[in-house]
Amino acid sequence: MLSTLCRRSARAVRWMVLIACATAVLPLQAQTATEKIAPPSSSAQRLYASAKKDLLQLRVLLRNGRSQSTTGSAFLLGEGNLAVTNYHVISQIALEPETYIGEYVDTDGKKGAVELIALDVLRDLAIVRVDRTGTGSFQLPDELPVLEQGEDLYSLGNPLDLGFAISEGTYNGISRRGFSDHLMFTGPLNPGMSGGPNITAAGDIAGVNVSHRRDGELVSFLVPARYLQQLVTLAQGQATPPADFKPIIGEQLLDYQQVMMDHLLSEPLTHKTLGPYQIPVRESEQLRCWGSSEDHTQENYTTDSIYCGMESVVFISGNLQTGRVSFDHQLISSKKDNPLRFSRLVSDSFSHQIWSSHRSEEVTAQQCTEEFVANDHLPMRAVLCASAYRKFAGLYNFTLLTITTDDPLMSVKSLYELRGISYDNGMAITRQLLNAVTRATDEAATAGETTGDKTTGSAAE
Amino acid sequence: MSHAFFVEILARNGDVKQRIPFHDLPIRIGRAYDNDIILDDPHTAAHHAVIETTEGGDVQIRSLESRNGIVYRRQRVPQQRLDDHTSVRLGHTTIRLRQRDFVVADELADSTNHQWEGWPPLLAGLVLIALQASFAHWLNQTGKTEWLEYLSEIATVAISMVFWSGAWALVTHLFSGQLRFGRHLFIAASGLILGELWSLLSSYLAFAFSLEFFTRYSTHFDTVVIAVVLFFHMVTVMPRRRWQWGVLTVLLAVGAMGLSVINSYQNTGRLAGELYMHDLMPPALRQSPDISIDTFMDQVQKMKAGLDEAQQEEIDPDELEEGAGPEDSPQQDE
Repeated sequence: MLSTLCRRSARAVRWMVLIACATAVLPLQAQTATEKIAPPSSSAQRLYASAKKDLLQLRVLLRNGRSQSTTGSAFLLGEGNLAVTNYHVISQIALEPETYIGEYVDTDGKKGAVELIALDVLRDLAIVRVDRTGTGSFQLPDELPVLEQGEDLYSLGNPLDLGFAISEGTYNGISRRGFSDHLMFTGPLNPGMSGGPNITAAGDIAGVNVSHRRDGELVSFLVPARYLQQLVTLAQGQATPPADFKPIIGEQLLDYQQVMMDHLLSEPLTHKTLGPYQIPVRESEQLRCWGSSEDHTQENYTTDSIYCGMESVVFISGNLQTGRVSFDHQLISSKKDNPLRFSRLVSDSFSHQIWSSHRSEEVTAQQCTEEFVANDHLPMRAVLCASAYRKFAGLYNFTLLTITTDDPLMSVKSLYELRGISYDNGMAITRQLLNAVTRATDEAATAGETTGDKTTGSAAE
Repeated sequence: MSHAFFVEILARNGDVKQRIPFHDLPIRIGRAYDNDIILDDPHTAAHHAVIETTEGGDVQIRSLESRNGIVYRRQRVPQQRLDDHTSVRLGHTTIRLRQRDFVVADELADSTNHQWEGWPPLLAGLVLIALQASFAHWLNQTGKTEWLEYLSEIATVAISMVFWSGAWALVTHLFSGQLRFGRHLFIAASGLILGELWSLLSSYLAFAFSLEFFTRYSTHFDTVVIAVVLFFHMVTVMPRRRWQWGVLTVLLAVGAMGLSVINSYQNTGRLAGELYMHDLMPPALRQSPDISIDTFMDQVQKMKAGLDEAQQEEIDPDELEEGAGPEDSPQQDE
């Protein structure tokens, strides 16, 4: 049913809502009880009672005035003084420690200072040190319990800054839509619960609350507990935290983009057919493609579009999401228009596709190269614009815009966006994309047609 | 019976405001009613000056009991010899004396095309407007031909041009007493056609020969077209000041271009109006060869140095736009 709910717009759609603090209120659903072991209420009661001592609310405050900017949740690990939360909860402390400061509030209302120790931007995890110790409710064993689809899970946290809460749901397998896995939790997660623990009925940590889909009902995501182990080991070995987290984030982003590019370039790009043209796409678990067709009969032309995009982004700050790739192809064709007039129509759709600002805090102004180029099969107009990340050296945004110039009454316009990649990778993929647009011989037009939609969620483990 | 002396009261720009003929000297000038020339200038005395013949036979103007006196070439003088080209100032009034034997300048050749006035340029202008409006509408519209749309397009353009030319005609009337509305309409319509043709030509040059310069700075070319139109309007208002109008329009055009460059630089950080060329034309018009992907990628590689330099730059925090990432991003619901 996912497809019917998804918007197939070519524009980037906001799929995931990180649930750091409150703005949107989603309807809460009563849980249907299908448990075999125990009635849900008593189970949740028992779990909350044992967990509440180690449950925290995290607040990011402005140093100046100490008003709160973001709230999220966290939990103490074992008997130590380290607590786990999401990176996006404390991103402001990591990026602007001179402006923001963190504090925790426990279930008894006691407050204390928070010190950032380690973070993992890609998995959206962070470890903070607090001035109290845990009671051992949340353990992270080396051998994690295997989850079964349909199993009950419980999320804890402080939704919408209203007070601590526990919510019930079920485990529904692994989502591989991003380059790091998420557990699918069919239960309510609300803003403010980010960073809170998600536990099994036995009290084992299943994951960390991270996001939910705004276009669905109770479609929530958890960061799997196995990603935590590595980070905790790192944090425990770290007596003094790094002075500046930006270089660390930069390194993590560079590693991430390499994984993303290896994936994109691991095999030759697949081709889809748009009219007589073959256009490159990469359809995979992470990159989903959608198609649409519009017949402007009155205006005498038709447009067919294929859009492929990642449904997940890497959150760095409120102003900067990165690590995203999208391909947007549009075939505009007319059967009987005048070529000059048709070229005007195409010009309109070719304009204003790339945007540049020289006043952005995050990226430099775009620099562009534009030429009429030809690969072995087709001539086209190509515009490549790139901008550099101001805070993270070595990372760039690439935007490639092409339009075929071989047919007076038909053009394929393609807009490829690659965010947060290295220059070499940007070059490599641009070269591949430019070479990949071809025109099929007319009789073979529909032969290589699409593989259709793959089924949505991947199988449970 | 002809007069011997003519006192001319001049306007600031040298034009004669008033010419008073006399048979003989002396001529007394001042505000009092017993003068030969009665001035209404409060900065002159009741008996300000007198124009008379000297013992040597010259003609001079001599100051009487006046506070402001006579000013010649910015210097106050008690008296001044007058010839045909000498003008002196009394208070706020500038006067000149000319005699009967003054030799006037040669007759100017009449460059005004008197046939091209009234209805003929008016109708020609309307035809040009109709052509331009229909062509622009045809070009930008796709699908079926709706004649009423063409008519409404033509009417819209024609009405705005009539208002524009009407304003110029009123200005002309102010200066020369005639409207010359047809002329102005023809000039405006020619400007429209010129602009349309230039837009096609510049798109063609950019597309056919990869000369992106022409579309990148298209606003400047538009400014030139507008300046030319303004020049012809001004010349129609005052045909004698051709040079002056020429200089004025060049200055205006340069100023407008400068402003647009500054504006563009402030808004986008670049001098050109657009980030990339979007004008496309039918592929058959392409003339220059397409470059290879390798060459293109070499050029892309060369951009890296510039980007890295920009990355290093510290930017003034006041210059920043909060949250102005190039991402049309998913707005964050934190």
